[in-house]
Amino acid sequence: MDAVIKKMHLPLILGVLFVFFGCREPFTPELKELNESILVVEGFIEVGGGNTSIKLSLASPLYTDLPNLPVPRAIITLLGENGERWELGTDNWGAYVTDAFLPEDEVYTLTIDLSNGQSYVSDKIKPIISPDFDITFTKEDGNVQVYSNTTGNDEAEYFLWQYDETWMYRTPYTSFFNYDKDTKEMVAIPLDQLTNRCYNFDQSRRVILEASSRFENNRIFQKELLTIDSLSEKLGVRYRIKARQYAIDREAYIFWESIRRNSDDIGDIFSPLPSAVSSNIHAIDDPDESVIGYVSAGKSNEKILYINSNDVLPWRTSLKDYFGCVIDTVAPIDYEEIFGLLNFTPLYEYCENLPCGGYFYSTEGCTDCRLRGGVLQKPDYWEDE
Amino acid sequence: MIKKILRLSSLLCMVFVQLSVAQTPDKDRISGIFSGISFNQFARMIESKSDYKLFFKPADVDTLSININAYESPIEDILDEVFTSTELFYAIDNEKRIFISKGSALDMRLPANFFEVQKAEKDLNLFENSQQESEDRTFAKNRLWEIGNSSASPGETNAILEGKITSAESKEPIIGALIYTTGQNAKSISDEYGHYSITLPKGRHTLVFQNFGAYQEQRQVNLLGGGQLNVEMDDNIISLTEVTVTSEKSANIERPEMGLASITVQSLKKLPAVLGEVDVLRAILTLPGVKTVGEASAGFNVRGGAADQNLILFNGATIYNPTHLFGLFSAFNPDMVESVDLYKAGVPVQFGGRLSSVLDIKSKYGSSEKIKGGGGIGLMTSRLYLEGPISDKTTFALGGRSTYSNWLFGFLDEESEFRDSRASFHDLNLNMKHQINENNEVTLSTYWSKDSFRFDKDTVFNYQNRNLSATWTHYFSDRLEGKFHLGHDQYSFNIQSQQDPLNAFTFGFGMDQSSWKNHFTYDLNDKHQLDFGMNAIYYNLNPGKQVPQGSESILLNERVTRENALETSFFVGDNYEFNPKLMFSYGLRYVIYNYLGPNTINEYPANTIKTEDTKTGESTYSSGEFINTYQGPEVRFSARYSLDNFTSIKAGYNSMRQHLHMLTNTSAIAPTDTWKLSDPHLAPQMGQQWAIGFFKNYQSNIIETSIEVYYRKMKNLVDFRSGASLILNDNIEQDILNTEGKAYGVEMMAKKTEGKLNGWVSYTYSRSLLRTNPEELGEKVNKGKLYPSNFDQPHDIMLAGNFEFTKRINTSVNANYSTGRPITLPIAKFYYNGSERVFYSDRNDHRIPDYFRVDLSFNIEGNHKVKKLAHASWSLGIYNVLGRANPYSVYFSPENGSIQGYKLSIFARPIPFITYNFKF
Repeated sequence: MDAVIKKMHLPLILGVLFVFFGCREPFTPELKELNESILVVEGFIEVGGGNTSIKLSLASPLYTDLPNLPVPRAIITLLGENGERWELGTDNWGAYVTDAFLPEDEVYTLTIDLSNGQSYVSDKIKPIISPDFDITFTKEDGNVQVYSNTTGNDEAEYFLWQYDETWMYRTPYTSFFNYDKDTKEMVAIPLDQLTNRCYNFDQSRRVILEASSRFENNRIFQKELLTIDSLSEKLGVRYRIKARQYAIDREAYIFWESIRRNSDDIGDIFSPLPSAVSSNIHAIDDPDESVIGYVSAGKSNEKILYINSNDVLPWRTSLKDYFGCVIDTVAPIDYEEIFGLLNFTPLYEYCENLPCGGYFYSTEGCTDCRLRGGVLQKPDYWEDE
Repeated sequence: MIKKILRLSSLLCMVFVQLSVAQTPDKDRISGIFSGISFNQFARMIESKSDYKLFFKPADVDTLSININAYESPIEDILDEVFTSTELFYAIDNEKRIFISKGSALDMRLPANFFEVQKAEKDLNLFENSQQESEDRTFAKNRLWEIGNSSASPGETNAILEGKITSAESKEPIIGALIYTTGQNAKSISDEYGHYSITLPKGRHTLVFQNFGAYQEQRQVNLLGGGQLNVEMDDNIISLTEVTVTSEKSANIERPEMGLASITVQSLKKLPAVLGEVDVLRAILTLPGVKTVGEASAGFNVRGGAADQNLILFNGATIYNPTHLFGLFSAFNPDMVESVDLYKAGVPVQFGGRLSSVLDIKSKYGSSEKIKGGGGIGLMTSRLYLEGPISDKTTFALGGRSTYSNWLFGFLDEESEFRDSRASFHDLNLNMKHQINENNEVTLSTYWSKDSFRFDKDTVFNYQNRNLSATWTHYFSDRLEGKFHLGHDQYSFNIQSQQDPLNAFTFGFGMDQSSWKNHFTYDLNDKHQLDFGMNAIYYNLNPGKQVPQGSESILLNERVTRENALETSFFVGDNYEFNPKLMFSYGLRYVIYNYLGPNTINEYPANTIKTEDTKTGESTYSSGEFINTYQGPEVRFSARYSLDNFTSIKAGYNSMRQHLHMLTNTSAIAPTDTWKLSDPHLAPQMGQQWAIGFFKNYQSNIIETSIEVYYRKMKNLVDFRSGASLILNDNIEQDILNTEGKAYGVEMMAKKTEGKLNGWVSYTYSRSLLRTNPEELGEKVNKGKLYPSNFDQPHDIMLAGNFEFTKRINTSVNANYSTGRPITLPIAKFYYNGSERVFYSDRNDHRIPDYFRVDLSFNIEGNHKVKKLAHASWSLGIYNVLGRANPYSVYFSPENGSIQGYKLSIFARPIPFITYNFKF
């Protein structure tokens, strides 16, 4: 309910005043020094087979450019109630993983021993088995929404979703040739090295949460995972979303809700006060020390959905990067100027009259998909149509 | 000229003969505009308009220029005005001849014993100790009245003089006239029957009778013993010099209560207004000790208390949401407001139910003279009022306001997300008063306000106040007065959303409150004035309800159980004047609160944290069953000791209880903030306040200064666990953190009440601190340490100045500086769930930048012609002249992958306004 009311833009009340009289300007307030290092623990204990991964890092002062300070060389151990223990392996970059089979009917405790001697221990964590779910999509007002649908039960009432996206995209033009500046020759590019098709990736950044008890028969219907805006490149060819559904307990839900609120609704006139974000992990020496993160356990579910461009027709991709993409022709006499000096990219031969005399050309930006962040290498999991 | 003087001397003797003949004062009133003319012309005009003849020496008057507007004024009033600050005097005889002379008035009396026979005749009509005022009022002014019998009480040095003041024209009693003597400090004010009583040392006195906005009368008395003196006074229409609340003069010294701030409607109207609307709530924010967390927020904070701790009464009815447009305007029509009193401490014993303050707004019940009205047209709102008699015993006052701000939205870009926004509000207020007979009076007061707001096409917000109350006032005797009040107050809020058929719903909450109050005042004797009575309030609260809309909606029909409670209080208070120097006001209020069924209460073991898991069961109560009861006394005490007539020291203590809690976890009051009644898990909020003050006036009370120091303690305040959802939460006790608070401060104020330049300047140092109750088992905010509340703004300086350029143009300046309010800011960042996130400092560990704002306004009155269709005035000005972007809030949000700080201001630029006001 809260979320629904939120969705109706309560802060816009302010907005109305704001539009006429208000102003928002960048501002750098003086902040109190962060005089302790705050451990950040992120991860999920996957029971009943699957990968358990825990990441450790430190929070950094707000006004620094350091993105993220991983904490390597720690020892993370999972303890079962009847004495069993599993130690997580480390990659030396702050990520700790195990693929050991963890029983579903166990209650776990997580311990963390840092290399500087500080130790942390979690509250008892009881796994929750997530019910099955599916993901669907609709197209409305030109945008595509991807939803999750599930039905909660007495055990699993609170849900968290995360997703990974992969999409294939193409450049407006394809370059089949390279101009060799040394030999001043045109060299054909092998078909498997063409740069006209890439794969790009993203992941969920919003906190997507829901409680099934709000709905009739505990049925969560069309919980929005994300919206793909019209004109987006993601649906230009083929798109894949892999969503994971976690069932969490109430305390974890409160944690995630606090994270969500602290990220989404701050600074407006009716925004709630920032929440103190609780954690189920505590320093052994000083229970008052701040720790960020909440580790849940359970059996999560995964669903994969592919969306092709022709599933959402008409879908038009429009990117600023490609606005200036034109093709022109060049005669052999000008190759050195166009390709050697001006760095244009040849496309293919111009063959109006035989023998072919010249090349079509465009720019690198219009032919090399890697410039937009993607990779040429098709991911292993990618299924073609 | 010589001819005239001759006429004068030859007629002189005839004058005396007729002097004692009764004059008929009601005739020969003069109307007209005499502007910029010489006295000669003026005299000719007077002679042409009336039967008066003027006699004067041209040399005496040649420097005189006349500027006066008159409407049916007695000639005396006009001449008084004309000759103010000149050396000229006048005398009028019964032949309507006016003799003007320099230095002193012509004495047209004969020696006192000249008409021995007539005088003797007159004396026969007198009562033993009383002397009737002579019809001849010119005469009355100057003769010496001997009052009382010197042999009756020879031992006493003082005597009591009583009498009745009536209007010379209507013979109605004049209420509230001030009676004082020159040279003595004794003064008195006439009561509602025109009676006055003043204690004076025996001997000769010059008594002055001053009616507000009217001329004064003087009497020379020789007081020999107790006696009576009745006086007739003129109602004056040429009130070019406005006399403002003279009766309040030195009230700050005299009254025993502390922390009382009254705003007159006149000063209210002079304050610069946002968007041109004279605003009661904005005006009280100019008082020391009253703060707000930001502009355009609905609540105000008094002496470190939360916004829900203010009781807002409008003619005795409780107003739950006193604002329009979520805080932009106050919900009270300024034309209808009669008086505004804010009790910050020393709350009178008849009020209770809130911890911090009582804002008592009284509105008009209508003039008994004639139908009149007025209104205003502004850029965004208009208002209109009408008042007058229905019959000679019944009067009414009706006021309404409405907005037409929608045109503003039309200016927005087509793409603006607010273009589809619509806002409307209106309020209506109808009051009626009926005088059944001398001892009984009934009043009826109704109030209705409604706001409707839409941000996009599919979501509508509504809220409304509805109040209806009737009061019967009965005078049992001269000493005992009873007021019986029956009222019903309603507040409701709802949202309708059709945005998404699957999630379409209406959500709402509301309060229904019925109250019965009786309040007696009893003048036990000169020393004691008692107040006693009882209040009963029946609360019927709908804390929240969600209903799915349409067949497609998959939302549940959810509601939080309605809550019922009865709050009964009995009170007795005494104003005790121990001696003229020492005065007490004290009282006791006993409050019994019953939480009533039907309801279901969750049970938890004692001394355990209340969560879903620790819940052991439920108990169900049937309708009307007492679920639990809280009761206890509230103490009110204040004392005043006068060091002299211009200096006093006051001290006070009071305790309060509050059973109604606003559930809010935002810093401003949000429209969705719902209410909760005290229940077995939620004890009433309790507060205590100690205060001491020093008051001194200078220059015959024109300058008032004061210092007040206070200390408050509060407990059982309501705070929430992190992430608690307050909407539709049926187990709210699981999310509540019991919190305690303290607040202290010193308020200093200097005020100049009269003169061309008037206004006040105040400085307040105050703190407001909170702490999670150490016994709370749930989380402890800031690890159980004291932390500043959202409205802890230590330094606050306020200047409100008003300068009258001329009678028609005055300008006001309003300047306010205060420390920025506390805020919780992020101090660290970390990477979590795919995004960079921020880690917040301890609660309220930072402050937003300091606040400073200056407003300017001009009020321009139309001309002062008495006879015209409507009196018009313009008020125009600029809110936030400096255009300072005072931050409302500071926050951080991710921008292109990094975290950027922003400050947000609401009124970030100068906002001009103009309003046309009229009266008819």
